[in-house]
Amino acid sequence: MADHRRPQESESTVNLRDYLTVFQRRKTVIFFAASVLLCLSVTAAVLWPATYKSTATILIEEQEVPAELVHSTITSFADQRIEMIKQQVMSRSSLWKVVEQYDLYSGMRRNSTTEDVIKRFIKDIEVEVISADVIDKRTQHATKATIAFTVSYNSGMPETAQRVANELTTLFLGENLKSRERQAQETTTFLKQEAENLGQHIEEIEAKLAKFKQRANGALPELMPLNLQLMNQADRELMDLDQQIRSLEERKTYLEGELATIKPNTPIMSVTGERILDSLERLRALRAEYAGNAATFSPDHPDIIKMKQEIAALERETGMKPESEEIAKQVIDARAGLATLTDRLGQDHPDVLQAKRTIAGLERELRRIGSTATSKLLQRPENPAYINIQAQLNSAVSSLEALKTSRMSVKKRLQDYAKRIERTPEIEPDYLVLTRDRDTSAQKYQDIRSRLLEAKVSEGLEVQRKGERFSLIDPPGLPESPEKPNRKAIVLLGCILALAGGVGAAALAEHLDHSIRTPEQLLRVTQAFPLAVIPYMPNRADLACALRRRSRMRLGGLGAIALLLLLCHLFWTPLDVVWYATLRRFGIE
Amino acid sequence: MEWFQAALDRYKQQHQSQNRPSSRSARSQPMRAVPATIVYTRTRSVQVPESVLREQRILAGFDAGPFVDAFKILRTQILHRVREKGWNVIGVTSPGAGEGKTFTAVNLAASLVMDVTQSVLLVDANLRHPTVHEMFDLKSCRGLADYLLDDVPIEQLLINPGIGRFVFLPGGHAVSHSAEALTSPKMIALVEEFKHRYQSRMILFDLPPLLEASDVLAFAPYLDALLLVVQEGRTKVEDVERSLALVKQAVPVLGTVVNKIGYSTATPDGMKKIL
Repeated sequence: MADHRRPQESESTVNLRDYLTVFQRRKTVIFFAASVLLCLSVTAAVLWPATYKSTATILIEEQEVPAELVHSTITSFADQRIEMIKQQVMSRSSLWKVVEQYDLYSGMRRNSTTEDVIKRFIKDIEVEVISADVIDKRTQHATKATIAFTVSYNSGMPETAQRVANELTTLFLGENLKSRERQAQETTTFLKQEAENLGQHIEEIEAKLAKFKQRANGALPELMPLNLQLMNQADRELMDLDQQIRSLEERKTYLEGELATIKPNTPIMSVTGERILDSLERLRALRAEYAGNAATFSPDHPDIIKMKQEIAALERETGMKPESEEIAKQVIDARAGLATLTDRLGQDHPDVLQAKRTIAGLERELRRIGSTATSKLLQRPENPAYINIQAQLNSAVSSLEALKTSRMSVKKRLQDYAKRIERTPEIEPDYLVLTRDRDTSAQKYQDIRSRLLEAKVSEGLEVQRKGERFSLIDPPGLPESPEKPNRKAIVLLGCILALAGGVGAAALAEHLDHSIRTPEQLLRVTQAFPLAVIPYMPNRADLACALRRRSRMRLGGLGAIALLLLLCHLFWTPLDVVWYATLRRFGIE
Repeated sequence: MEWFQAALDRYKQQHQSQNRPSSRSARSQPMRAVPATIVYTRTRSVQVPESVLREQRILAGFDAGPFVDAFKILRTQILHRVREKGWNVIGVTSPGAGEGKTFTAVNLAASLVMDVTQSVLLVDANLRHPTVHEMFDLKSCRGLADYLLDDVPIEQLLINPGIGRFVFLPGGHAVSHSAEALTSPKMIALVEEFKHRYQSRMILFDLPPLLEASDVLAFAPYLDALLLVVQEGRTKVEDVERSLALVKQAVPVLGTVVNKIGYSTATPDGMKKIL
């Protein structure tokens, strides 16, 4: 039991002393491992090629014109846009152009593929966004907003780093402007195209509508009330006209009756109470007398000649031509008399002959009158009352005529309106479809037009560089000290690593070493403590041997360092150069 | 011889003062009289200079110190155990070669003979590579091999290195079939004779490495007990376990001795201090 307890005790009481013993025992291993690691780290710190980093800071400025006044057509987030531009800038072709322009990675280009060189180039480019905590104006929430970004390039040469960083910055800025302008223009172009299409559509509809209206001929639904009104009006007008016509008819009838009772000419009485013939009546009497005399007397009878002259004078006076009708009647009358006479007296009877001559004379006369223009018998009524009534009658008749005409037209109009109203319902659906289409299209057109205007303003914003823009606030500078490596840190890390490595090596050696070190181990194996523990008793030979070994090791170490330095001096770089280079690398001039 | 006489006198005095406690503790041998002073007439005596003793790390060359004390502790421990059981034939071995068997055996013998009642015979039974004589800076001499193979009388072979009642039998020349030689009837007879010839005489056998040859295993039945020497930082734990397992049936193991403690941390400055 005691045997079981003791090992536990011994294990739990592993104290500083034991560690010291282990350290003593393993100091060679520790020292060797630590020095190797330290040497490696120092070598790495000195030999690691320096990388210079040149960085440009680009601020993302908000648009100058307030967004409430002019909306930008570019609404994506800044970092999204940066990423997009990055992709555009970092396209193979543009990067390769830069590589060739600045002759970057000349060694690598000889041995590796273009793909690898580009990959390496992209690895050396750093784009980082700088965010700030801001409060969103709309939602009042704290958010992160990208306010700036940096473009850096790492290179072994400070000048190259600066030049390439400069080029990259230029590419970024240019690409941003280009893409913004392009985006704005694209919006405008698109809207313009849309507006044009819509305009064309509207035009087509308008044309269709016009044709339709023409075809509808006033039967448009929108004209319905007007048509109704007009029809009513026409109706009323018609009734009015009918009324008027009726009254005029009455009046006409009355006047005709009146007129029939009045003689047109009032007879002129002579002092003898005899009625004095006016020239017209005298002409008529003379003519009748002439026809009888012409039958009895030869034409060159003085009475006949006298009558003839009188008639001619009267005709001249009255302007009346001999009335063919009257003569024709006399001819017919004479012929009838002739026929009777012929039947009664025979052909050769002088009366019959007389009658035949009269007919011939009348026919001559008829032919004479017929050849001249038939002048109307100028019958000038003289009776003022007659004239008055006749005038009234005339006016009534003409008014009646006019009214009748207008009634006709009104009636026609009325019919027209009625037809329109009848046709309206059947036209209505098609018409409504067309108008609705036109209305919506027009509305859309308006909408697009207004948007197009807005987009044009926005494009102006971009073209005049008044929108959100990237401004270079810190151009890439010439890096004065290398960005990487941090040699001091590497050395420090190397020191820590060396310590850890030493301890680790010791621990490993201790772990791998199964040899007996302490009486406790024997206790565990044999269940008994050793009978005796005999200390090491050195003799002179041992001492001499140890001393010899120590001096040999010292000599060997010194020799190795000297040899290394010599090799370095002869085959690599002279030692003084190395010394000053090392000092410079660690920042000590 | 004057030096020897003086030492003898000193031991006598010591013995006189320690007589009572020693007789009390040694129950198995109640009649422990001081043996008569042996004058080695037939045994060859060699005077080994102190410088050689120191150089070979034999404690007879040192004054009191941790090294000497350690062996005194070992001696006392062994004597306690041995007297309890009535043993006097002890083999000294170790799992591997070069772990300090001969060094321990010689020094144990030297410390045992400091007890004036005790005489010690150290037999170099490592016939494969006998080295005990080298410890005393002797040139090659005849030894056990010559007795076994050439019948040289044992009296001519024993050597007294000039340390009290310390007699040792060198190994002689190396023998190829050492295990067979060790188990030969002649050898067994010799062991028997040694065992019973003298009172209070301890016979120590310096044996070959346990794990490297069959000698120890073969010879083990003729031993009373076995002492296992282990070197700090050299002997593996597994080797000790294997050795113990091997000899477990054949012979009781008296115990172990850890040798060369502090060797791995020794510095030249520390060595100088000890010297």
